[in-house]
Amino acid sequence: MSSRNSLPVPSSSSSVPPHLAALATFSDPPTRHVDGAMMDYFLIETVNALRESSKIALTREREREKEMIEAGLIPPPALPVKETKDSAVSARDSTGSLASTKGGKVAAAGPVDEEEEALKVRLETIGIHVGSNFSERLCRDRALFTETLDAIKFICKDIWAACWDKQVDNLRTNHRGVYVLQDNSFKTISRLSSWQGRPDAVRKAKVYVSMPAGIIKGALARLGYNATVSPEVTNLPQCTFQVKLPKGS
Amino acid sequence: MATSSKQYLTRGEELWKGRSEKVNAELFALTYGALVVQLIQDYEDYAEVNKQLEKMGYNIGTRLIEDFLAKSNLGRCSDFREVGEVVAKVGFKSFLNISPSITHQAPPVPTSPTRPTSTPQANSAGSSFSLIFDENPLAEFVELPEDALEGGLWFSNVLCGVIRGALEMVQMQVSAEFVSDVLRGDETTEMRVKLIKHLEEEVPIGDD
Repeated sequence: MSSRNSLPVPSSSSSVPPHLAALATFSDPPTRHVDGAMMDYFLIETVNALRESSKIALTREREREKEMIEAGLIPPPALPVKETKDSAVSARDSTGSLASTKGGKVAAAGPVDEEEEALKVRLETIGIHVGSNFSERLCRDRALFTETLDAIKFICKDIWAACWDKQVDNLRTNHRGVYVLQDNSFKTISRLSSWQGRPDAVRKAKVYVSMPAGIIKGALARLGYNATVSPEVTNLPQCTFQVKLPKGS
Repeated sequence: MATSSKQYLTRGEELWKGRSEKVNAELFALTYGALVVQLIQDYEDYAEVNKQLEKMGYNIGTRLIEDFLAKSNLGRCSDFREVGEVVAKVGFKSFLNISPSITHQAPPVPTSPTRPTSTPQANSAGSSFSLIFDENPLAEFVELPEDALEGGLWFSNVLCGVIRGALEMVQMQVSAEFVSDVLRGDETTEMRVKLIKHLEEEVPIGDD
């Protein structure tokens, strides 16, 4: 099994002498760690901080858009149909006071959804950054992946173990570029609960799994596979990620 | 009981070894870096980003101190000097696996002749200590662009918040701020923590 070493190796076909290979491991600084509990608190506060900052950014964007519309630079948006009631809105009935002040349950769902989307996008972006760079570090000493399945298995084993201390519980594929990774006790959401009940906890979980989805997406992207990753949470703490690879890979 | 510096280092080392969950520091560094970038994009104002990072740190600090007190079994610190030692050698060690070096500064001597105390107490308001970080796990892969340098970004400002939050939970109001940062081209990364005052424990009303 060939492997790349950080020491310059003579280009002859002889394999690396064992003592040089051992020395190569010393050339890297030892892996540094930080405390897990601290990391958990940090991630919680990261989500809170991004929730605030995404609101500010959205408000500013809306202001700028308004200014541009008033200046006639862009046409006014077509008014969305706000009259039809959505069955999904009934789940939000418990936050009734918020809905009533905004003058209509569906109308209230709009800005709240937008903010949540903005937050999810931000978390995914951070995940992509982390996933890409971290997978690069993990893959440094190994040969390129020959098979797509190998790359997915790398995600299921190495990335999962490094980020979430276990391996994926179940991997399914339709052999046509769609993989479903299932984790029965996903670390990010395993300690999540909400005093408002299960549905609210699931909704919060969907926000928190955006970053892991980004990590998977970023890792695959850096390995050369541009996939779309969709996380799904139906019963806590179980979580599935659907990875769709484009045709021909 | 004056615990020597070495004993604190040992305690810190023990606590670090005893932490049940450890995470790769690179994941932490990468996440933090991406977070700062996102905050800069959202707020478009470096002073505001500094403030938000500090606020985030404050929230984290209020939680970490509980964990710390539960695991470390250290008693109350006798003076602010000891607070500094514990923070530097035990606190940072058990959560970030680093030991910043520490220098203490006594409070400024009151010049007014009416003041009865002539010797500055190490516990009085105005005492401070400086933490010098020769390794910063947050800034592992970081280089600040021109913009951020000019805008006055303190990249690791979250650490200031953590100290402020943690110490407030043990009844000390402090100000913590960076005075230099290698990311900004300075020689060292130094944080100055100053004691503003001790907070009185508030007795709940009707609790006699």
